[in-house]
Amino acid sequence: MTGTTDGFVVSFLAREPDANAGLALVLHRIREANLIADRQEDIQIALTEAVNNIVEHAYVDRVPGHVIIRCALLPGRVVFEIRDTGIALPGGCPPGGAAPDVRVAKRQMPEGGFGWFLIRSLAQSIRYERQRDTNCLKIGFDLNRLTTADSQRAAKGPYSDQNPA
Amino acid sequence: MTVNAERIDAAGAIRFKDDMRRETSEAPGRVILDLSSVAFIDSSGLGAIVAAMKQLGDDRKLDLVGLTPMVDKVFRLTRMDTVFDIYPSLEEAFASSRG
Repeated sequence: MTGTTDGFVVSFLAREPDANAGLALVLHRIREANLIADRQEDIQIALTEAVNNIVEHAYVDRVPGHVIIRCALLPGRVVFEIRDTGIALPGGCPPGGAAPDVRVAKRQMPEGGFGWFLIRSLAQSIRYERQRDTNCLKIGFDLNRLTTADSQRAAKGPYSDQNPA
Repeated sequence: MTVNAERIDAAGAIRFKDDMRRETSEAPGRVILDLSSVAFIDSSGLGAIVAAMKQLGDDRKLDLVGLTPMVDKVFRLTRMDTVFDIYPSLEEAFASSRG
């Protein structure tokens, strides 16, 4: 450890309402970290989709196990490691990031397939590994994409003079 | 119609679809859905709104009003903002029907 790493761990069962409560706790901790608001929104949207995927797909026909979310607050970025012991992602990797086509007739309009697209749109790094009986998904967000209202406050914050490699 | 919920998510999507089906069964040609209380939507909630639009069939349309910042972001990212007519307020939605 370099001493610059801060973070937290939250664990919950891969079922509702536990997952929602667990996510709410993660987001509460993120708000405490005073990240810029725009990135907090991105994190909420992307993490919700990632956890939804686990709740809906990883434990089909199984007893729901624990989801462990480990958050590392690093200089200039935040990385979430999400672990579960459900079934592996099909094909051993996350689905591609193509957006479902919405330029179609009303009755053909897609009602799903947006989850991974949203994660890929909002996160700057995604890494998935199957480790023995565990899924390990790492989702990283850069914190240096400052927006107008937040830039002044963030400039005084802990990430202002850090330069991520 | 107004959605009186803070979120439309995976846990509430099925109920939302059922409510929409019931509430719009007698609806006229245009249904305006007020989302100004909804702070958060996920892909399941988005799918539920699309399903509600499809339930209305080809003769009726679903317009949306009052997208809060995170809801707006999800609609823009998925390009669903190009599928629906979206208005900042009910007043403006009604004004557009007169215009």
